Parts: sequence; C-alpha cells; structure tokens
Amino acid sequence: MRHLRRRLPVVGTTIALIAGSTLLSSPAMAAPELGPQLSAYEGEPDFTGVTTNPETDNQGGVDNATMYGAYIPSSGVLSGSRVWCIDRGLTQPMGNGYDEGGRSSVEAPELAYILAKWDEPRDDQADQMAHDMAIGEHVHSSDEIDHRDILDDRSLQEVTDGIGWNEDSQNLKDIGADAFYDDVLPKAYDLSAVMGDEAAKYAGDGTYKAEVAIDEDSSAAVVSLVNSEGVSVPGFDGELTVDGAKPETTEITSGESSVEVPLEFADEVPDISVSVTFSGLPTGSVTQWNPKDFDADDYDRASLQAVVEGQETTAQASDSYQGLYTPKVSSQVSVTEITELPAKVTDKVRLDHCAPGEDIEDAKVEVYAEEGTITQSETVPEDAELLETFTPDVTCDEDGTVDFETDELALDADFVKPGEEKSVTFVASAPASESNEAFSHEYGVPSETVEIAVPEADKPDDNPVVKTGAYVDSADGGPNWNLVGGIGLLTVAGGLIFGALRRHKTGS
Amino acid sequence: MSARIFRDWWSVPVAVVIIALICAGAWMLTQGLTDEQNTAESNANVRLEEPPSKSEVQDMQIEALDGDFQVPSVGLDTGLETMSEVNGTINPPGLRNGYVVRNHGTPDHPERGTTFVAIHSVQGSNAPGNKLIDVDAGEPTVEKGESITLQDHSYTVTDSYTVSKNDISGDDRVWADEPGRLVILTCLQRSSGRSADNVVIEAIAD
Repeated sequence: MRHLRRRLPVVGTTIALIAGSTLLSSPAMAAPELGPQLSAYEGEPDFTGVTTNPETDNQGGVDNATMYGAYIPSSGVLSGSRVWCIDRGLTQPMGNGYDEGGRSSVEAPELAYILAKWDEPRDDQADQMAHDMAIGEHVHSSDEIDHRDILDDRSLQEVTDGIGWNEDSQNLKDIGADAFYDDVLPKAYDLSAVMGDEAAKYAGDGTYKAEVAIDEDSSAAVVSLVNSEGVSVPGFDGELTVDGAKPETTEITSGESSVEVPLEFADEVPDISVSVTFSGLPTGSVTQWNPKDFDADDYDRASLQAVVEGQETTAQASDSYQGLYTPKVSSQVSVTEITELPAKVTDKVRLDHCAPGEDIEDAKVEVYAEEGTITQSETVPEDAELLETFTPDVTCDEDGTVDFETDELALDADFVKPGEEKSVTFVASAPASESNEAFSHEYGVPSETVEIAVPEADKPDDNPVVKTGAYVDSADGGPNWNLVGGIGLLTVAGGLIFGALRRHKTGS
Repeated sequence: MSARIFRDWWSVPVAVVIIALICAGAWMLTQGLTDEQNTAESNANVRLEEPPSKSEVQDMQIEALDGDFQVPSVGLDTGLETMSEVNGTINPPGLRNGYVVRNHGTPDHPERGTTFVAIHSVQGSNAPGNKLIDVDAGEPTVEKGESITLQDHSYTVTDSYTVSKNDISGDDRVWADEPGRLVILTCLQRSSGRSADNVVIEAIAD
C-alpha cells in the first residue's frame, strides 16, 4: 500500500479550493454547513470515511471526489442520521439541502440488508473506518437504486490501484497513513466482500421471519431467523421473553442454524410461553433522500447528492407448551378373598397428579379372570378372560386427585366350583388426553386382585339312607260332599219318578 | 176329562221338583267328580313318607340349578336343585325336581367322580319320579343303554336295580365314587303301604 500512497501525491490546498468553488456553485450554498470533504479538512466529525484523491478523480476536467463513508448532518431533517451519498461526483451533501418532500422508500433488499447489518453508530473512525468504507462502496455500486453519477463507479481496490485516496483527509491523518494503508484498506476490501456475499445469500426478497419453538424433550427454546427462502439469517440480535421457565439467557444472536436456549422448567408440569423479538432487521428497502434541487433539468456536479439511509424493523414469534400431567393410579378392591359364591366386588380407584378440573376421557376399568392365582405383569396375558369393562365418568378434582368406584361385579354361584381356585383382577387405564398422559395400572396388582376359592362341602363318613317316598293323603281333604250330595239328589229324584209312575198307574 | 185333570193335579209340582233334583244332583255329581280328579292329579294332598323337619330343610341348603334332568325313554323331563344330605339321610323336600346331592360323590366335577341325584316317587300319583318305576312289576322302568341328560352332561344307563331301603346305606355298589358316574335314586312304590325299596339307576358319562 505504501507504493500507492507515494504514487498518488496529495495536494491538500487544491482540494480545499475545489471544495470551496463547488460549495459556492451548489444550490445548497446558502447553508452555513460544510460538507464532509471540507469538514475533514477542518476537523469536523461529520464524515466517517475517506474520499478519493480529488486531483486525480476528475473525469470531465472538473475536480471532485467520491465519498467512501457515512455523512452525519448536524442540521436539517437528517440531523444526527448516518446517510450515504449515492451520486458520484455531485456536490457533497449538506443537512439543510433536504426536506421531507424528497423522502422516499426504495426497494433494495441487498443494500437494505447491508445497511441494517453493518451500518451502526461509530465514534471511533480510526478503528472502524474500514466498515464504513466498505458500506460506501456497496452504496455506490448498488444497482437496486438509481444514481446520477458523474464520476465512474469504482471499487475500493480500483481506487487504491488508480486514482488513490485523499491523504489530506483529516480522518486519514487521524489514524495515520500507515494504519490506513496497512490495516484499514485491506480490512475494507475483506469486509466489502463479506457484505456482498452475505447480502446475496441472506437478503432474499427482503422479508424476514422470526421462529421459535419449545422442544419439551430437550427443554429448550429453539430460535431462528429466516429469510423469504427459508434460509437462516445469522448475526441479528434478539431478545427472548419466557414465562414459566428460566432461560439460560435472554439475549440471543441468530445463527446459520437454529439457536437452542436451554430452559429450566419452573413447574413439574410445565406451562411455558416463549416469545422472541429480533430487532434491527432490514425492511427490504432503504430510505432515499433527494435534495431540494433533485428535479433540476440541468443538474451537474454542482447539484447536491441524493443520500440513502437504512430502515430497520422487528420480527417476533412466540410459542407455548403445556406439559401433560402424568396420573398415578392406585386402587383397592372391596374384598381380596372370596370363599362363598355368589358374591359382588367393586374396585375403588384413586388417581393422583391428574390435570385439575379436566375430564379423564375414556377412562375404563377392565376386569380379567384367570384360573388359579394371578401373577402381576405389565401386559394382560393372552389366556386371561375379559369379564367386564367398566367405563366410569371421571373428572379430576381441583387438587389434582380423584377417587372413583366401579359398579358391582357380580360373581355367580358357579363362577368357581368348590375345590377350585380362580382369580379376578381389575385394570384401570385411560388413553392420553389434552392435558393428561395415558396411564394404565399393571395387570394383577395385588390390591386390585381377588382370589376366589370355594371349599368343597364336607362329606359324611357314612353312606346315607334314601327317603324318596311319598303318598297321597286321601283323608286329608275330608268327604267329597258334592259327590255325596249329587248321588243323593239323583237318588231322591229317581224315587220320586218311581212313586209318581206307580200312583199314576194305580189311579188309572 | 176335567175330572181326570183335577185328579192328577199333583203331577205338575212333582215334575218340577224331580227336574230340580235331577239338575242339582247332576251339577253336584259333576263337581264332585272334578274334585276327585283334581285331587288325584295335584300334590295338594301328597305327603312325604318321612317329612324332614324345618331345621333339616334349612341345613339342606336348597339351591336351584340351571339345566334339565331328562330321561327321554320314560318321558322324564324336570328341573334340578341341589341339596345336602342331612343327618345321614337323603330326603328331598320337593316332589317334582331332581336333587343333586352336594356332599356325596363329586358333583362339582362330574368328570372326576359320581354325581348322585335323588327324586321322589309318589304312591297313587303321577309325580315325575314315578316315571322311573314300574309299580306293578316292582322294578325300574329305565333299562341299560338308555340315555340320561343332567344339565349339560349326557350319560348312558349301565344298570338299574332295586335295593332294600334298610340295606342301601351299606351297599357299596351304590356309593362308589367313580369318574363320570351318575346314580339316580328314588323309591319303588307299591300298590299299598309305604315303599320298602329304593330304585338305583346307574349311568356313565358319554
């Protein structure tokens, strides 16, 4: 770089004269403010970079220069803002040369990305000049905005290798020529390349979306910032707001892939909401400020330059997670041993740690039977016989518990033959619901199992006699008066008939 | 003519009385015969030869059983109950059903031992148990090879015979406890007097 500096002699007095003549011919000459080139000579901190050598950057025979840095007006509508000149060779901007009438928004996704990502307040020109020189290069070269260039568009490298830099610039003097050529310029080349690569890769159509999701398995908030093409956009700061958990950090920076922020759940059953807000994001557009003389038909290098400034916006996303309650089931049958049949059995079931006030949907208690005794197991054995399925309506109480009892299970007299043994067991279960995880008691839990063993009848030692005889007790009913009376009446009637016939014969 | 009519004036009321007597007598005779028939057909006046006491009946723990008791060859088709022998006696309290004796043999597991079924027969009546006996011949009506159904088990008769009531408790043929064996017990009625013998019908599960 040294050879460039030597090859490009600086004539400070000439620049001052040129700048002065330019200012006099500018439409904004009435303004008391001085432009960046002059300010550099007079030590005013309203320009953050360095210009080209005005003696050699003079196409057309009129001396001027190209600004590679941000201009910070101290008056007018842009007072305090960092703006960037876009018209090579036109007069350096002055704060009072702009008003709201010249303001417009220009869609320029890549330039907007560069400004949002890299344009930030810098008070140390020496260390950070490289950033603003690189940004200035992209502003000048951007084909997303219109330019009224008089001077040719050149890259930083082309300036360095050709017309050279204004070594009378106060900013260059502040950091020293050696540092400028050995450190600032190489860094500016690199940064410019990085900015161009990033803009091409991440700007997309200029829209960005924040994403956040709670990963309950890893207990983390997974955050990302993506562009219109779904590509993760790194390097933008976001703030995490979390309720119901303690995040490892609330300050995050987007990465080339999702960023996981570990969460420490506050409750056993987590109820978490997470939101993330990325700020300082590009909008996809830049604000262009045209000078008051922008529409002059015969603008020339005396016309004031138009400038652009970055726009910023935010993107927000949120997610929530309601953990599931994990009901713990315990139960007790009304009787654990039965020696006489028929009998009835119920099962009292208790659930702990269920979702307060929520229905336990599709809860059921199945009853199985097996010959002999039952061995506890996680699943129901294939040879177990399903006797009954109770489907009680169960709602968890506000304290997260609930007790319920099944209807009676009737065991008939012949359910178990005397001398044999059989067992029944109750199995309470429910599928997962909106607020509760699925639960199922194991098969054959002792407190839910009834052993039924009816002893055989005692058998007498001796054989019995058999008394299976009966008889009709004819004396028990007394005389059959109807039969006796009927016979008597018919006998009397017969006697009367006989007597009447005899008298009739005798009389005749 | 008029003198004759005057002389037979009494014939009209006598005829009326005779008709009334005939009607009343015929009605009473019909009723009487119906009563006799009903008495013969019902159990209203049937008495057990040796009725058990109330406490004995309680100790028998009578319970109804599902299924039928059928001996198709003699037209027996009746219900079943179960009872326990009490005080060394099998004495069913009912007249129509067969009674599976709970505490003799192996009635809960018919395939493992003998099931004993007792049923009453009634002298001078037609109780279901009477179908098993031929009073005039003094022997069982059921013969070897005939079928018996008890609940959901089928049996084939292997023997039938009579045993004196005094000897039956000591007759090991009757009380043998053998797999799949069925023994039906009733009384052999006589034309007159109380029964002196039991009828034993043995069968084996098919």
